[in-house]
Amino acid sequence: MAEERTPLQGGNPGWAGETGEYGHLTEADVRGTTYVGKRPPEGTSPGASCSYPYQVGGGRPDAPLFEGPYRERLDKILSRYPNRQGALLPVLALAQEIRGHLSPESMAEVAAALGLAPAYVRGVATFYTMYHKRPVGEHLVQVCTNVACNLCGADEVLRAFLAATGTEPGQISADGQYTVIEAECLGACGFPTAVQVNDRYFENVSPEAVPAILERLAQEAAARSSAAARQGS
Amino acid sequence: MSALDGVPGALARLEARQALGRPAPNAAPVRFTLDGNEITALPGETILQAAARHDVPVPHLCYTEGLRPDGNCRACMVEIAGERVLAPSCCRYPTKGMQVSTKSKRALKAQKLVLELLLTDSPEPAPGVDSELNRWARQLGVSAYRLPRRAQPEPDLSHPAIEVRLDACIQCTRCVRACREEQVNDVIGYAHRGSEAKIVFDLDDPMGLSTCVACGECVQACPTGALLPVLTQAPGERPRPERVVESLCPYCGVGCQTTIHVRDDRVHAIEGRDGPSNLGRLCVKGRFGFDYVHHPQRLLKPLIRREGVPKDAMQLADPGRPLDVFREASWEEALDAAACGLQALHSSHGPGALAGFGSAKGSNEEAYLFQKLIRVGFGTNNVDHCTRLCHASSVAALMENVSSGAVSNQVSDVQYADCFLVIGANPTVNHPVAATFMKNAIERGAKLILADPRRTELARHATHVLQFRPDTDVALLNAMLHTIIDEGLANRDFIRDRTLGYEALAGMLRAYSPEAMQHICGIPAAEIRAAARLYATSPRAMIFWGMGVSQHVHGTDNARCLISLALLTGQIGRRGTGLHPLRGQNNVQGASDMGLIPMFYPDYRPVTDPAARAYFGELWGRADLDPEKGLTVVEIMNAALKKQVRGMYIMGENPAMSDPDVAHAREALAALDFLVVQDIFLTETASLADVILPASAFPEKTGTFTNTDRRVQLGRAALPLPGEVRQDLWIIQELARRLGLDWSHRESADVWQEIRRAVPSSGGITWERLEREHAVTYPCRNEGDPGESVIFTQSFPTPTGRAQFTPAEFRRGDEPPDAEYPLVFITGRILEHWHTGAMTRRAGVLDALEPLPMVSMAPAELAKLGLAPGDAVTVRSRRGSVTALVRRDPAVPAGSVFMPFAYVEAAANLLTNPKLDPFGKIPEFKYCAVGVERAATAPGVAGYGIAAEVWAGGEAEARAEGPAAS
Repeated sequence: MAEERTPLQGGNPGWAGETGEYGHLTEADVRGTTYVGKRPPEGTSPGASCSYPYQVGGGRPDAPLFEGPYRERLDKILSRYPNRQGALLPVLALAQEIRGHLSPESMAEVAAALGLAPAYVRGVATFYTMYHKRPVGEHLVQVCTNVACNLCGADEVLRAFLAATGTEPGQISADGQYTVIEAECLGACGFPTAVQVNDRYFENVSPEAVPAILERLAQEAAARSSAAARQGS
Repeated sequence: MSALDGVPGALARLEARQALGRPAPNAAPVRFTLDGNEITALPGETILQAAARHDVPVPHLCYTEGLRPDGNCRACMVEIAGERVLAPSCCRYPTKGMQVSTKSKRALKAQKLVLELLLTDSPEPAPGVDSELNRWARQLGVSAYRLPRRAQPEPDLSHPAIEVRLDACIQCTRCVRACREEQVNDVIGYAHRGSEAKIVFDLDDPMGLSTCVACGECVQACPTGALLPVLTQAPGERPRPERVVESLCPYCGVGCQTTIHVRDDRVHAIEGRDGPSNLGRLCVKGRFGFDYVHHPQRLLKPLIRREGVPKDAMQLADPGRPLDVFREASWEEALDAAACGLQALHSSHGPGALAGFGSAKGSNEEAYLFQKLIRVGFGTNNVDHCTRLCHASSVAALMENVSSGAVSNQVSDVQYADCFLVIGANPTVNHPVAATFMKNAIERGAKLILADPRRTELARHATHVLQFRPDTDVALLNAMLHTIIDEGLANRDFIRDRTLGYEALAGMLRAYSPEAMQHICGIPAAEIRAAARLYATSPRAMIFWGMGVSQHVHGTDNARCLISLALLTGQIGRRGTGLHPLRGQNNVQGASDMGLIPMFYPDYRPVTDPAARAYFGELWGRADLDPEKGLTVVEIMNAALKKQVRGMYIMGENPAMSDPDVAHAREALAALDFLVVQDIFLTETASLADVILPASAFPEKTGTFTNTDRRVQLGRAALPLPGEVRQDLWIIQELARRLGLDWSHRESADVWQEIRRAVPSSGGITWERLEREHAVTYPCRNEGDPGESVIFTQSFPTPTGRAQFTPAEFRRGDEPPDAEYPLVFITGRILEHWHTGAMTRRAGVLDALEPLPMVSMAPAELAKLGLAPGDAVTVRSRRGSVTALVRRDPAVPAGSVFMPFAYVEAAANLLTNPKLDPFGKIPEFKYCAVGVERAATAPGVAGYGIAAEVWAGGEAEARAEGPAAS
């Protein structure tokens, strides 16, 4: 069967392909576009592809869950698992994409949609750190403070990010752009201090590099929004 | 299996566990070495269990008997010779010749470290709290706190029954397994991670606001007191029980075995015991609904109606003020008055002017002596009980077609079923512990077909939910039968070899195609066909049904269809198949077996059969027993109004609440010339009595009770009798003596000896065996018979040995909705309240959970009427009206109203239709026409319970006393 699939250009080799009832939906439709086509980065091995989109802010906390195209995506996800419990992780990710974070109400709605116990959904959602139980800014800045980074001044880097964004750990900055948190090991111990912003790594970060990073993120965000405005007009 | 000898119930437990889908690797006994001694582990035993049975204690916290071993706490680590790492003994099975050390240096060090780390995270134990952690720590000499303590969470005291003190929690997840895997209520979860991991209810809600049904399984499982029953005492004053008594639950027909903890002659707590029907599980009523026995309104002295106080059917006596209507009397005087009153009517109007209602809540011995007293002392067959109101039609259909009114297979058989149909029953509410086994079966892979006008809780677990229109059971079931024949799925061999009447059935069913019936029952034909196919083609399929099937004017027809379904497919006579009408009361099976019904002597021998009459005439010493069938419950009430029945003796029944068109029933009771009531409270019925005899409550008596599974079980007295209360058995016998019978006083054990002669199907059950084994299943004809859990395996007990198909045509209920009464009225029960509420509404926790009368309606109906949840509404029918608070319930279908009948201040039976099924004589409780509108006034007030105090303005006072105070 594998040869019948049309491989996605630059897509995730783990993607099950256009099969089943919702075959007209592409991987980007189902998983969002934050990484599809970008990962794996050109020239790197497929293993560098993250098997999962990193969902961050941008959703609307009051948006209805699973309506319209999101309903289709939910159905597509459900069609790919042998039972509803199996689909819980991607469905939670979808809910987070829609609303920006997973409130208890969102967990209850996911539980109802999948016919699972709310307590079970709560248990799963709170186990994984990539599900946000509280709203986060557009950019989630995670500063590694584990051993290697710490020896190289991660605390100072963390303080620099907090000072530059004017926040406490976990807070959203006044402009809604940033949330800075401490992270456990990011697996980049060879390049301390490691910082992850949404799905992107910044390595060998020093406190002095922080303003430049934030400047770059702001420019990119501005470019994105003007591109969106051009497309809209 | 000689190794199992001398270990009571070991084999049964092993079988039960394996049926739950947890087969153990060692199916045979295993010899292995434990701490240097060679011992034998029984089949299915883990190292821990074998050690415990040989009095070798191994510390363990996350494991407890009955739950799946999880191996997460690591307190039970043992050293096994030749293995590199230690092994958790709770989930390790011994192999032949294995050498296990529970006390080696390594094992002990591991055990102690686990306990020390857990102690560090725990608070100082409250005095009296029986913490398993502290017990093991004491035993292993672990006490030093070398590590920093953690910050402790606040207690959650939001639930009336259960305190949550997570400071004592050690995250063993016993409660999670109890809630999710045993009871399958899915309320408790394990959330967060690392040092922040904690137990949560739903979405980390306060327990009192969660969907918790308060079964208390988690409390029973908790080893540290993080989950505790709420007691009226302050924390810190949790006295240990003085004694424990092995008894039974007094509520539904499941027949859970309990351990009653007693202190200061009061029930202190109730725990589930490892009985065959419950495997240690209980529900909220069984575990927390016990304090009614200590309610201040208990009748403690005999009462006689005051001279000149009339019986007013419209104005019932206040149960808290009996002396307004009655005066206290001595037993001598009251018994004389009771006997004289009945005797006088017997002399003046003949035996037919007398009647008796016994109770399905009393013991077999009480039921037996009661019917014997009516038949021998009164000389009439006018004796009945509430079976007439619950499964009379089921029994009529079963007797007609398979010649046995009891269940063919036990509830636990659902573990062997591939598919089961639940119709007209809401077991999560009415038989909660039976429902847990059904949910376990579904988890194991069995498929559920749920058929009910309401989308009840089990729908969450069902493969097919057939939410058919009320009253159309026969249309739906005939369409399923039609499908089975139409698609060639009938079991031809079974029909040929073991049944009669197939051709007539098949002929009638031609008109009942799903395509024709879908418009009547409201289920698409394809869905009906799919459900029928699933039932017919499953290797083993079972049917459970409840009052939704039986309480119709076509109740017998409904049951006939179910029987045909089983016969047509051969789904009977084997494990995991069969017919199971879920019995409502703890002893409704037994009371019927004992002949507490007007047409049968004990063991269902017809009163019209001369041979049976001769047999019992001989046994009871009265040659001229009444040869005519007696009147049934509703017929007796009608006869009372017509002055054909003039005197009654009612023991533990409450027809003034439980009968249909209850205003009519109350008038009938008031019209009696003489009424003797024997009960524990001044019930609505007792308030119309001439003489009231204060009776013993369930935990005060010893006797046998037969559950829905045909299991005869022993209930043992745990409490002394309060005040001047006497044993019911004593009262019946005293009355008999005063009516001229030469009965000597006998205890339950002696009466049981006579029952063994009267009821040969239980003849092999000795009292000694009941005391030893607690439960024995009948048929058990000879001493030593194991008891048959599955019947009809070879033949049916009919004269031909074959079962009969009885075709049933679809017909409408008696009172369909119309313009004036546009809604269908469905009565039933809620989890917390039992029947007429006499017991549960006087139980603190249950009353606190559900204090007010309510009706449920679909959201769309509420919107149509412009009502919001919590509004007071008046529900009226052609017979009366009641006022209650309305609840929004998407489970209730549009066009109908659901109402529990437990509330005296809004008695649902004021509205119900007394029209009877022609065969079972059961009234149509589940279907009549009503109208609903906004009420002008708030609901009335019951004479007891928190609600009474709240409505009377005493809210602050009631709350200050706490929910368990009464």
